Amino acid sequence: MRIALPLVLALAACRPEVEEHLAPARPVPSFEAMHRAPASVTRLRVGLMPYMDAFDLQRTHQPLMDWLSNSLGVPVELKVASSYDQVGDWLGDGTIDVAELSPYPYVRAAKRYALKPLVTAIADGSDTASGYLFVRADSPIRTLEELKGKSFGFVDEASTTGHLQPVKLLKDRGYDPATFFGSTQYLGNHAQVLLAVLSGKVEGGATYQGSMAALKRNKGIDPLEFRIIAKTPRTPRDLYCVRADLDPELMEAIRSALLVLSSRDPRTRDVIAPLSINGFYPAEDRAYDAVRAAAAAAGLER
Amino acid sequence: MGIRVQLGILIPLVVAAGLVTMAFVAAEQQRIDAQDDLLHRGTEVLEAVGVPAAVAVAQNDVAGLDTLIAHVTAASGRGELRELMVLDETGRVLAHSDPERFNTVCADAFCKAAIRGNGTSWRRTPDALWLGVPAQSGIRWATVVAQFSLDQVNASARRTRVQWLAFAFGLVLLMALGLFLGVDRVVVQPVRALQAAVRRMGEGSLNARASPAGGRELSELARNVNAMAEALQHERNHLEQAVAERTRELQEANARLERMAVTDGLTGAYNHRRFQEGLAAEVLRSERNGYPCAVLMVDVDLFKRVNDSLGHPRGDELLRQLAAVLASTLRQTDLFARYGGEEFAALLPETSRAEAAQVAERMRAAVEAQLTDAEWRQKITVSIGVSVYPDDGKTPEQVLVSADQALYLAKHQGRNRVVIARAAA
Repeated sequence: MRIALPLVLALAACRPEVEEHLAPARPVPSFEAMHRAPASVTRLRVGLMPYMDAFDLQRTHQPLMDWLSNSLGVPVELKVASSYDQVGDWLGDGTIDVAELSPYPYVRAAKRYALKPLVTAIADGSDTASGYLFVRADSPIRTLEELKGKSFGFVDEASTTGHLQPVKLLKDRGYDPATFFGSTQYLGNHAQVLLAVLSGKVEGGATYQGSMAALKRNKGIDPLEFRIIAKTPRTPRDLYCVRADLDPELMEAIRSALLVLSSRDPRTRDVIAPLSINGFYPAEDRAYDAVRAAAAAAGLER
Repeated sequence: MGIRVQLGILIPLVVAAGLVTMAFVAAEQQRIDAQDDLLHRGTEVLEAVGVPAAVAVAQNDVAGLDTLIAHVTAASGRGELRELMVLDETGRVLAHSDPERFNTVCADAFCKAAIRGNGTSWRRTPDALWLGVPAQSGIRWATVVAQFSLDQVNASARRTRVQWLAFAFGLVLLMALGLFLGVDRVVVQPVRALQAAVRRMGEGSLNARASPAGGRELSELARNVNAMAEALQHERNHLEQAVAERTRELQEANARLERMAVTDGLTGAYNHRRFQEGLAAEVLRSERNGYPCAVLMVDVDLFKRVNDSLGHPRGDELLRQLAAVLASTLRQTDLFARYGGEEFAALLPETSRAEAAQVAERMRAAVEAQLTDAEWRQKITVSIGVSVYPDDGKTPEQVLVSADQALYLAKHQGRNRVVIARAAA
């Protein structure tokens, strides 16, 4: 209000010269906070989804497993499942202690078992990722509608960006995902989808936003070989979770060992560099509610 | 309607109109200010976003662009940023806060203008502010377009309006109350007091006064009314005095006239008519009371000679002196009159024959003693006839006739004497 100006000026005259507001201190992951596993724990079994071939999974995860083993003081065993959903089942039946899950499999597993999310990965500097529907750069297909009747490659039936989100997108646009494409294939992992499109095995594919850069890193294939024709909403990235009834002390030991990892810290960056991630942040189950909603909307809930 | 109610309605109404206008002006001003502010902030945000967006577009880093747009959208709190997009030179959406919009073409006039424009473009709709800013890194790589919600801006303008209106309502209520009480004290009560005083004056109480109260004008009015009343009162007193004076003069004139009607102009004694009235009344009173009363008829002896030798003026003078001498011998209650020419008469109430005889003799002697021969060139004497009611007459006429007969006898027996009428003679 203009007429309040003199009053404001009068009050300003009494205002102290320096004012400040300091935000409350936040918890900072530290090496000091790390501790060993309780004495009762003799080993740790970590389960992985088969989103790459087992050799690559082993290769990229071994530094992290070594880090966990050193930090907790127990041997760490890596187990690669034969399907996305098997990891959840392994958690449920005690075959493994810790699982690395992508969002949709986590949501599905959390529906069957009481799980406790520990940390979520940060990659490409972001805690979320878009999903892309793409074709080869020289393809005549330029819109989602033009993919109708064409062959299409999904990642896995349980993949978030590689299956769930594209199906939801088609439903949102009013198509029946079961009959929209001429043919569909589940190609196992993101790199395989990119390579299948590149080779002409399928005319279109679905992946997450980081896969093209990864392919360039791993295989030297230029992202400009592809053309993105649609995007799907961003979803949280992969997370590490445990059974909810796991020893809390062990839970905390695993969480603190993962939270100190950072691509900016020379001591830890080699641990996570093969995974193409930047670090972890504390996971919260409600961050995956959007995925649950998408699954419900896509009719893929079970 | 009283002055108080009129002022109590009129003034608050005027103030209310002013404040309501103010409310709308202030709210509109606030809306414009807030919109300008949003425009500046929005431009700064889009310019900041424009640099990394340009870098990502230049490097064909679709994922990086997506991450940028997603994070800027998420970081823009308070819900002001409705949508954020990066457009290439054809208007195709390279990235959008809503992934659904990717790969569409923004072909509306504003987007086209923003892409063509060299600098910030903006467009306001009732509930939104559209902003277009170039995304530059070395050269122009793209255009950042955003839609900001004006809901908060409009809501704060509405709030300002409501606050002003509430303020206006409260102030007007206070003013109405203040005027209602204040006008009563400052105007209504003094005017009522003044009116009461004027009414009392109108009803005739010119000594009523208005007490000077209220403002300067009303005090002055009260003083003027008082001065007017004072002048009126003064005038009335003056009139009353004049009337009283005239009345007194009239009464005096009446008394004089009355005296002239019953007295003799020459001698100052009562006249013939008054004597007759007095006699008639006295006879009635004597008859009722049972007292006697007497009549004396007095005639100047040889008066004609005085007139003849000394002239009528001296004759008149003689009559005046005689009247004085004769009257001096009488009591206060007696009635003395000039009966005619050189004849006088006296009526003596409650007087017996003997007492009347004494009075008559005293008269005669007084005249003989007091009027000198030298002055009148002859001896001045009177003859007196006395009669008494009821012995010498039952009516006034009979008493007079008896007195006349006695006077005649006195003249006849040689003048300068008293003759008493003979009862039942």
